[in-house]
Amino acid sequence: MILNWEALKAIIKQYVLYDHQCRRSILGFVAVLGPAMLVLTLLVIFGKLPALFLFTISTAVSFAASFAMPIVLAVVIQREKAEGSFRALRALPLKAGTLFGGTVLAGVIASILALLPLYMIATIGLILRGGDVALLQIYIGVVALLMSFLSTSFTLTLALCVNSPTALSYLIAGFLALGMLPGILMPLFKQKIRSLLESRLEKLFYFVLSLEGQIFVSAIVIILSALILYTGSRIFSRKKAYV
Amino acid sequence: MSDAAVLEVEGLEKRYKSFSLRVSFHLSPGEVLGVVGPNGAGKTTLIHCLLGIVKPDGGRVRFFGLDPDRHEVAIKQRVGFFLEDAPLFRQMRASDVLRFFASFYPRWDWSLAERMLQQFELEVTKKVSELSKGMRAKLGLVTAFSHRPELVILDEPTAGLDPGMRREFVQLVRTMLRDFGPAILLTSHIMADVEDLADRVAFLQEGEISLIESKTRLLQSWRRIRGECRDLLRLDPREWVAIEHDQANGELQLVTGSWNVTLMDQLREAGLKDPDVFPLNLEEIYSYVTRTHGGKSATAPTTHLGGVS
Repeated sequence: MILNWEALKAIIKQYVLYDHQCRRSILGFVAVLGPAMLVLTLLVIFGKLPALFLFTISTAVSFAASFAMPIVLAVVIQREKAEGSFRALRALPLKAGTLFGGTVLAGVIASILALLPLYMIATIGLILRGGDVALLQIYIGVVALLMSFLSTSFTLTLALCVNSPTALSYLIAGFLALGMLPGILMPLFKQKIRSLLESRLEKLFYFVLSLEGQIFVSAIVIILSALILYTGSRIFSRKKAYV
Repeated sequence: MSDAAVLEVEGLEKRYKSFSLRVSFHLSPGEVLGVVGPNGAGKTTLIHCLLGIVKPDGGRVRFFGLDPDRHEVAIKQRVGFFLEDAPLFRQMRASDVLRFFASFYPRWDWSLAERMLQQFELEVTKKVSELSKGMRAKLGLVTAFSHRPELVILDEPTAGLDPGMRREFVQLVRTMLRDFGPAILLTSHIMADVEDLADRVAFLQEGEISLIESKTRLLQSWRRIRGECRDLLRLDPREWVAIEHDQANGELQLVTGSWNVTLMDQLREAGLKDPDVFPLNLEEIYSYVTRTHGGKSATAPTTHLGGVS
């Protein structure tokens, strides 16, 4: 896939800056949660709230941004497909692969733009407060970034490759059900899993927090995202119709 | 087929469950080809196939002698387009749409774009969704012409526009043709647009081109002849597009697609009295071509395209 950087930049700007729906979602997310996060951070700095509380809220917000922004962009793409402007995108001088890559990058950038101000406020607060939570906060930032990459790859690949909104909603519902499957099956294997986890959970937790563990998990997420993107790009480039 | 053709289409095929398109034609530099046909004839499918929105199932297409599969970006940088069914990015401001388009075309001419915007009195600060249909069409035309393309593909550019806006559109295309002479592929079911602009006309019906001819030749060779005769003349129905005989008042009306002056002598000799000849406009020609090809003759006893070359 040979990417044209000028075209990529134009696609990213189109979605992140020019499209009102996407731009409003990013600004709305920051505008609504920003002041709340600022107040929480000040309360933590002045010792009125425990640092762990801010850390938990910041983590939740970061993950929410990682998952919500790609969904916003998927909605924008489906809207463009429905109103017909996606046809104009395909008729412009850019390869299908560039359109695919630009859209995914726009999703990642939209997530970063939504989560970064809030994350920065909380991180500065936790650093000023001091303690181990600040280190964990930096780690969570990297994880949120990786999650944003993974969720963008997955959501936007589906949004770009599937033309029918109904088919898309079935697919998303199917994957959500698949995600909930372990929870549903848990009671059936409760004892077995509990004994298995109890012996290994602590080890796993410390491994994930170690440098090797972080590199390992990051590599897995990046490889998985890259695989999704590669497959998605191939499917998108070979589509018979972009309408 | 010409080596210098801007666009060559050979046996382009697209098959759907209930419809299939199969067309061949070419477009020379600076030429305007009007593709006309009823709704569902395949005009938009043809445009979508040419612009890569839909992948064809077969055939060969060359733009400027280049294969679009291998030179997609280079070709599209030299092509302008207007898609009737694609209202440009409704959630963007008109000015942002122009900036967005400009970033894809190295030859984008802002002074030309500004000139067109002023001529059209287009409010670029408004969102596309806030513009009227006419204004959206004008914006689409600015995006189609501002990079001085060598080929412009226009899909139903005046559909839904009032007569004033339609005149502005025709004027704009004429100015562009004078200014930098692009070849234009224009699809429409509004015959007046095609009659005003096209050098050649292709009649597309049920996915096939039933007739492709220069507009001048069409207008010269199609005639309606009206005369009087009590008895039905012995005419070969294959030589006439339409024969209508009103036996009550003896009026005979004939339509031909291969008019020449000797035809009148033949008809007089056959017994037609006081024959008058009337030229047909493109709309009338279109109605005869579509009726004939579709096999839905409204003119008894016979309609046939036998005389058309």
